[in-house]
Amino acid sequence: MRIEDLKLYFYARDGIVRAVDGANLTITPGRTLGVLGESGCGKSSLTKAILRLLPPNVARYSGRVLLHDHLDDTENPDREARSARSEPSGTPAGEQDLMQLDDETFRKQVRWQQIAFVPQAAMNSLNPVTRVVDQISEPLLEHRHAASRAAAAEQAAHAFDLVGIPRDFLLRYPFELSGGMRQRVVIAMALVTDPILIILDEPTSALDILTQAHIMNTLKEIKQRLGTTFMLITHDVATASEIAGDVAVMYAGQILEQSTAERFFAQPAHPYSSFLMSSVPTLRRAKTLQAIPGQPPSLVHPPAGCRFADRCPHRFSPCDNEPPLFGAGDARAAKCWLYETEQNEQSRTVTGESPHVE
Amino acid sequence: MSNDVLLRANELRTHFELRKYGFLKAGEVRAVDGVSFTIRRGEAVAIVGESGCGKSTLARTILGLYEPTGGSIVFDDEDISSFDRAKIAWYRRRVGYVQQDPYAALPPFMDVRRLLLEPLIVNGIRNRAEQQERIVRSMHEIKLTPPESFLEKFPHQLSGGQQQRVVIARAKILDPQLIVADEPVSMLDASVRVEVLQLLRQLQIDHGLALLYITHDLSTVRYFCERAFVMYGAHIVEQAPVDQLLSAPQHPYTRALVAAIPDPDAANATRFRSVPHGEPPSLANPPSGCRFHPRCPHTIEGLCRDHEPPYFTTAPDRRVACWLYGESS
Repeated sequence: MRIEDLKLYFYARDGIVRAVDGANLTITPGRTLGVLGESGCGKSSLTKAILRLLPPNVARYSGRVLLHDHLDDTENPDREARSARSEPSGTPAGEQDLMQLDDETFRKQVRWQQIAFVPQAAMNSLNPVTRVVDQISEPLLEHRHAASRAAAAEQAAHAFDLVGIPRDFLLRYPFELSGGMRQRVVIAMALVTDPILIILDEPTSALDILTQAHIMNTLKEIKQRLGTTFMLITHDVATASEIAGDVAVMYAGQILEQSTAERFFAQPAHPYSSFLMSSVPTLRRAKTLQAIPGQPPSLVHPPAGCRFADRCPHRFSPCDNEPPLFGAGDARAAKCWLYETEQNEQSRTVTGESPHVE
Repeated sequence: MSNDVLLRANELRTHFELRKYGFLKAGEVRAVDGVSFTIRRGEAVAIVGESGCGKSTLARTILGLYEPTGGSIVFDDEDISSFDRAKIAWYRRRVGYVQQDPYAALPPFMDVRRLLLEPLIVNGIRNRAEQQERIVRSMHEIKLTPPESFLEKFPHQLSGGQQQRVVIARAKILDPQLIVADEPVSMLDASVRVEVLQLLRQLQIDHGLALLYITHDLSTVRYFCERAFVMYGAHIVEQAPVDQLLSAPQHPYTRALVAAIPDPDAANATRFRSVPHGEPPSLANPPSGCRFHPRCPHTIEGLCRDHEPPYFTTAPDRRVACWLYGESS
C-alpha cells in the first residue's frame, strides 16, 4: 500500500484545520509499519482518512491511497463507478486507488474486507448488549464470508484461538471480560475477514503493563503465523519497537521520516525524530533525557517552510521552504533539507559522510 | 524516632464498604491493606503499580483525603491519624498534591492568579504584598515567565504541560515539606513529560522537599527518584533503591514487571517477552497467602498459598515480601 500526498482538512471555528497535510507512506506487505507521533499531530486523522471514516465537517479530502489490487473483477460489477470528487489519474496496473471508489463500493469492498481497524480504547468499542460471538460474526455475514450463522461462529472460534482466548468465552457479553480480553476480542474481529492490512490505533495504551506485553506477544505471534500486515499508530516509541519493522514519524500533519526499524532506533534521521528518541526514558540504560523545546505549530496556520524549523537546532536558510521527502522508497527517507546533499551525493558517485544529526 | 524520617506509615489500611441495594453490607474493597513505609526528608520516592493495585488510594490516604480504616500516619513526629480538624489543617499546609489530570484539577472559571491565590487565602495569608510576592516567585519556579503574561489566563488557554505546571505551582506555593504527585504526567505527551518531571525534580532538590511520585511507568522512575516501592494487590511487595530495583529485581512480580517493559530497540520485534498469565487480584476478594501466588512461577508448596509473607530485609534499605527470601531458603 502506498499513500501519496494524502490531505484531510476539517472546518473548525477558527479556520480550516489541516489535520493531515500531504502525508506520504509506504507499507510493505508482511511488514509492520509503526507510525509515531505526539497527540495532535494528526495520526488518528490519518487512520480516518485511510478508512474514509469521515466526520461531517471535512473541508478537503484528497490524495492517493494505492492498494495492491486483490479484487476479482467479475465479482465487482460496480468497480467502474468512479467518484466524481477526485480527479482521474494514471494508476499503475495491479494497484487500485481507493480514493477513486465511491462510498458504497468502499464500504462493501475495502473497509473490513481489505483494511480492518482496531480503534483506540478498543475494549470500550464493543456493543455491551450483544454476545461477543455475534459481534465477531457480523463482518463475516455482512460481507458474505460465511454462509450461515453456524459457519460464522466456527470462524469466530478460530479467530479466538489465534488471539489466545478460550472458546467458551464466545458466548459471553463484553462486561464479563477483562480489559485485556476485550482488546483481544476486537483484534479477533479485525482478523476474522482475513484483511490485507490491519490498522491498530494505540492498541495497548489503556491497558496494564503486563497485559500490554501479553497483547504485543499475541500480535507478534499472529504476524509470524499468518504474515498479516499491520499498521500500528502510537505515541509510545517503546511499544512501536515491539512489533514495527518500519517506522514513520508524524509531526504537524506530515510524515517527517520513514525508515526501517533497525536504522530508526539506532540512528533516527530527522532532527525531530532524534529529539523524540532522546525524550524517551529507558529502563535498563541510564541516559540524559531531553525535552523538545517549544510547541508544535498550529494546524490552522502552519508555518510556510519546514514545520519543525522553529524548534530545530539545525535550522539553516533552506528551511524557509518546505522540504520534499528525500530518499523516498529507500531504507530511510527524511523530509529535511539536511538530507538533500546526501541524496545528491548518492546519486552522483560514492556516498560521502552522511550528515549525522547527533 | 530519628529526625531523618519525615513521614511514617504503620500498617496503614483503607477499606471501602460495598453495599447491596444501598444499605446491606456486601463486603469491602481493601484498597490499601497493611502498608508500612517511611519517607525521609528531602527524598524522592516512587510508588509503582498497575491500575487497580491501590496506589491512588494510598496517595489520597496519605494526603488525608480518605480516613484510614486502620494503622497510623506519623508526619514530622506528629501522629495525624486521629484526624482532628486542627491537626489536619496543620498537616495539609505541609503537604502538596499534584493531581493526575491537570484539566480536571483546575477550576475552569479561575484564572492562574486566582488559582494560586486560593491556597494562600485558605491558609490565612492575607497580606497583599506577600500574596503577590509568593505568586510571582512560584511562577518563576515553574518557568512560566514573564508571570504577567500568564497570570490573567484561564486553564483552557494553556497547553497541557503549562496546566500541569500551574498545578505544581499551586502544590508548592505554601512551601510544603512533602509533595504527593499522583501520575503527574500520564496525561501529557512524551516530550512534555520529561520537562514536567525535570521541573518537579528540580523543585524537590532545590527546596529539599520530599516527593512521593506515584506512577505505573517504571521507566521514568530511574531518572527522578532515589527509592521505589512496588505495589501489588494493595500491598507493597518490594522496597528498594531504584538502581538496585531495576538491575536486580527480587520479588517475582517486580521481575515480571521489569521484563515486560520494552526499551526502544528494533530487536524487540523478533523476540517474545515472558509474561505471567492471569489478571491482577480482586481487592474485594484477594487470594489467601501471598497475593501474587496464583500467577507466580516460583510458588513454594505449602507456604505461599496459605501464609502471607512478611518483609525480609535482603540488603541495607531493601525489603521484600516474598517467601523466597526467608531465612530458611
